Amino acid sequence: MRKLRVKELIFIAICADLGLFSKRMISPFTNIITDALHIPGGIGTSFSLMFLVLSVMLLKKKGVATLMSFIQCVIALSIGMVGSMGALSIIGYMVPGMVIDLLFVLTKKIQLTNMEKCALLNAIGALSAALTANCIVFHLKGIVLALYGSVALFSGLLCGILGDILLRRIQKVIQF
Amino acid sequence: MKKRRLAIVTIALALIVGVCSWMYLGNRTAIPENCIELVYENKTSYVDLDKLDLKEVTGETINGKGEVNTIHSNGIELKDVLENHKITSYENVTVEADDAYSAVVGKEEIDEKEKVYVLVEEEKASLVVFGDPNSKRNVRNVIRITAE
Repeated sequence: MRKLRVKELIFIAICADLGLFSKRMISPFTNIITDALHIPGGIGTSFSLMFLVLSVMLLKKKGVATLMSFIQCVIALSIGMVGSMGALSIIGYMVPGMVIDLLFVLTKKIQLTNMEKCALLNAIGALSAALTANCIVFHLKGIVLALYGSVALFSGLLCGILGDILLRRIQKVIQF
Repeated sequence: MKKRRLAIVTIALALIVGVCSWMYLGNRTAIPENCIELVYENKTSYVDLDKLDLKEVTGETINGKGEVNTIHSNGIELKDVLENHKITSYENVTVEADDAYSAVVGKEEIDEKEKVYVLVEEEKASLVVFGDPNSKRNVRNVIRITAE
């Protein structure tokens, strides 16, 4: 990762916090959908990951998502916001961040629009988060796992599109 | 053209979610209200929550943060639920929630006195393993108990 400027670090800190706490704020609404589908979640994380994707796409630097997920992980552990994963939430936070960074690097030479890239990073990031949670906590199998994964992928895609809309607005007021 | 590409992927994913929900929700067996499905040797019976002999239960659980929570509720030992249905020969019991989350409890733990309970609050059942160092096995809104 190239050296980050103070302005960039402040933006990363704000987005990491927004990503961490927005999940809790929207969970009453996302629970309506997941309760109806009888699955243990997947949508809130997609929204939360949107802030990681937003930062990666805005700063265009390798390792930003991993750094953000590490910050989120440290904050979550320090305030006891670890959910049912317990100490294993370190993996739960870090894996999506690393997947987003990896995809960001891999898709650099592929002709994709910003919206497509945001959607792809968010969707695969959300899927990786869902699969990690499944391995650590839920242990779902068969069709319920397929539904849980596809909901994460679909909500990740939609949040990625929303992220691109936000990105364009932010780019008008902040230049890095 | 590029916007259409993303729209096609979005519609395709929406269709996959639709098909998976249809398959999953369509195959879910309807459980009578205020009941838990009990599965043993491929036979299904129901535990009526209203007919359970509940007693006041107090115990401590430890959550993922290491915090100790004291629980005061009404419930019945899982062992008693199984024995009421003449289920005594099993190794493990899988307790499944409405959202497909599940936890496995071994017979040794179930046989321990005042350890594994089915708590009933507001017509909803939950599994609690007292003294468990990992509250992952606390299952809310239990709909199915499978003894194997």
